[in-house]
Amino acid sequence: MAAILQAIGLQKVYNPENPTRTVALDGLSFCVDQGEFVSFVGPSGCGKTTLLMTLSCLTEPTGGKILVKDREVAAPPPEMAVVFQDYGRSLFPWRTVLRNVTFGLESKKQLSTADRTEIAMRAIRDVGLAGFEQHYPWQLSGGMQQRVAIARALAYEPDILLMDEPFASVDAQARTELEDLLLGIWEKFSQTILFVTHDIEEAVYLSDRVFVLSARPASIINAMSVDLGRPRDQLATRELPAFWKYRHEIYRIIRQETIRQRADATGAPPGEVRP
Amino acid sequence: MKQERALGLVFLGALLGAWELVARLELVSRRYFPPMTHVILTFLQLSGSLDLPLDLGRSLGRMFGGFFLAVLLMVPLGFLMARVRPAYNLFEPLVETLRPLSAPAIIPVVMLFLGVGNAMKIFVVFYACAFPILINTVDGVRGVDPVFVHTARTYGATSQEIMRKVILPAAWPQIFGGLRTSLPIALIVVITSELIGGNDGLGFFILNNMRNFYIRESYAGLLMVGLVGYGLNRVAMVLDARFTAWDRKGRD
Amino acid sequence: MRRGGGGIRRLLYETRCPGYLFMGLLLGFWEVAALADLVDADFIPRITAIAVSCGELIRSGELPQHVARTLARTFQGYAWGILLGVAVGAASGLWRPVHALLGLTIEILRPMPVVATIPIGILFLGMGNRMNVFVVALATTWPIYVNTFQGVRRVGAELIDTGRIFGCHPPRNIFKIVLPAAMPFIVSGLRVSLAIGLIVAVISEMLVSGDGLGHFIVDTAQAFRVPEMYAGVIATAAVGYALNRTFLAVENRFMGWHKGFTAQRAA
Repeated sequence: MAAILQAIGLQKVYNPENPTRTVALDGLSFCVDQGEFVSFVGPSGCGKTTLLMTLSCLTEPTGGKILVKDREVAAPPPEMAVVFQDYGRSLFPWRTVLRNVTFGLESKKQLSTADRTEIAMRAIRDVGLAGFEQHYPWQLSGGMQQRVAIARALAYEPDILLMDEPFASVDAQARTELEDLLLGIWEKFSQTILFVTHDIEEAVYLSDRVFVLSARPASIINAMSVDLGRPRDQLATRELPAFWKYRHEIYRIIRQETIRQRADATGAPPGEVRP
Repeated sequence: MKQERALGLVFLGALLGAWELVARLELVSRRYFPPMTHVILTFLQLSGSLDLPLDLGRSLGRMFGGFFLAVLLMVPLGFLMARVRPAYNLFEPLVETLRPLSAPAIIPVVMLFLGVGNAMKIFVVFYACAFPILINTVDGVRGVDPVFVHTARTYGATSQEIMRKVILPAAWPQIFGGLRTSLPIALIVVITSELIGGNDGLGFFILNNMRNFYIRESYAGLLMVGLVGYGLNRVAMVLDARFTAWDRKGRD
Repeated sequence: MRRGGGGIRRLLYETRCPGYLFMGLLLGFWEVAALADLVDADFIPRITAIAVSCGELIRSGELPQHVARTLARTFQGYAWGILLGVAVGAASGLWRPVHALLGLTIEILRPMPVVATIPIGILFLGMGNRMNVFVVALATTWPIYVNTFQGVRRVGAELIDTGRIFGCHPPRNIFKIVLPAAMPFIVSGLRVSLAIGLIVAVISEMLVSGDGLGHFIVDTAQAFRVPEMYAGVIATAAVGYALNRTFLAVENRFMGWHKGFTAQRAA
């Protein structure tokens, strides 16, 4: 299986020459195979978002490199799309749903407007929002807005999809729907998905592998394979004893890390730099 | 709703009726207080002739001249200041120092240089509109959510595309607010400049007629100014609704 | 230890030094231009000349006198504006019938530039202080009215209900609950109105008056006492600035709770 994304020794230091110097990532390395669904979990403030910002090349790492399809990248690569947690701040409020979804396609100059509309409409249908193309984001519920963000990423036809706690701001009911929607899309299109979340059960439910991050500075403590069979089911999968074993193990590691972080913090400089 | 509107009309009608009555009964000397009907008649007469429309045109011309000059110069400057930190640091102290100096106060000074012609008035209007437009543009552009920019970058947009497709639309409501605020200011300042140092225009029209005791004509001029002010307000409201309907943040 | 390049970069990006330098350069250029007769000294006197005349006018008491007159008018009109604006605004905000009655008329009258009414004002009230105060009162009423109206309307129903539970009913709750809750808006209107009041006072003085800053500026301009004219203009700006700062200081003293409250709500 080809490794589609590789992080090698990623390092990110904020304010290197100030007293508030913070090491967010320290020598973080991993690789993800094509078509894999991997999640990243870790204690609060460990740097999950920093990791995602660095992987998508929105932030420059202080050290290390990122390889996409064996090619080193320094700017947001066209093979990658990102879905942010706060859809309210990433969907363009002055554009309709349709125009939001076609946004990513506007940089693909070889497509005609008709093509773009067609691709966008397909993506909108795939996320279950057919009929809402001419609506504006503020007219939709939170869950629906996040679907638009997903449709936008889908239409872009990326090989790699980065998602930063995409369902955290959505109510619990909509969350389970979105989780299954995402799995459906993944099964249909076979992208590689890197999913950041604080919800351990969500990570276990969705993924092939779960990367457990340490407390700040973040590195990978454990890369756990999740063998729960496919397709997953909200009821059946969550009843499997293996599900809870994975969850238990991950929670144990994170709790240990949280305790260690607090112990360190009493001696460490004050303030936590949030990216 | 309907009855409330009616109530408002009734009150307005009562006020106008009271005006008419008081004037006709000469409760206030007719020299100061012509009946409303006379004023309206005079207004219509003057509008039909060349006098009032010409002065109206002059005032509007100066007003929009100064306004558009301010837009042309201040919006790009605002973008520059918001995006390029050294530019902000360069101009901001000057802006903050000049801010308390309002346009009417400098009219006599400008008159020394530019006399009492159009140039003086247009410049003063420009000066008055410059600050709200500049400050709102800077605030609007600075206030653009970085997540919008991040999103655009991940979808492969170039810097130019980001400016055009993300920053401009996102900042537009606030910029428009600045434009909208400065229009009434422009009207006030142009009238003031015509009152203080004018030989034509609506402000001068009102003052001059009063000085020569053409009282009805003076009132008619005031009515015209009131109409312009009201009209500008309505137009601004309509444009506001049309262009920034999507901006839910500022709404309650 | 930073290198020189890093220092300049920091200066450019993180401080306002470029701006102050820029202003200093402009002023210096002005001074030199006036000194070297590059500009007509009748219109553009040296900065030092302006400064000197400023000092003299203050020492002789001429400028402070005019400032006092302008401020007096401003505050007189302002007081009326507060009275009317708050009364009508609160009444309109509290009782729909009042708003229904007055709303349309106010909507029509408000966009009218108050300065345009000055000639008519002269007609009725003559060329004296009364006219100035009237115009200031008219101009200051509007912003206060609008802000009071909106502030009162937005007072949450929960606050009023809480009052009723503890025995505070209308009309007592107007002063105990409604007005305090609407204060942030009202204060905002007060601040804007004060600035407007000052400038309208100055404008009216430019047109009719025997004293005050507006009269002073026009008078010195006509008499070609140019440095004094500039001094008057600067004084006007300074007074406006001082008024604003004073207002903000007072506002902070009494409205400090509001800043914390809104910050907490936003979090």
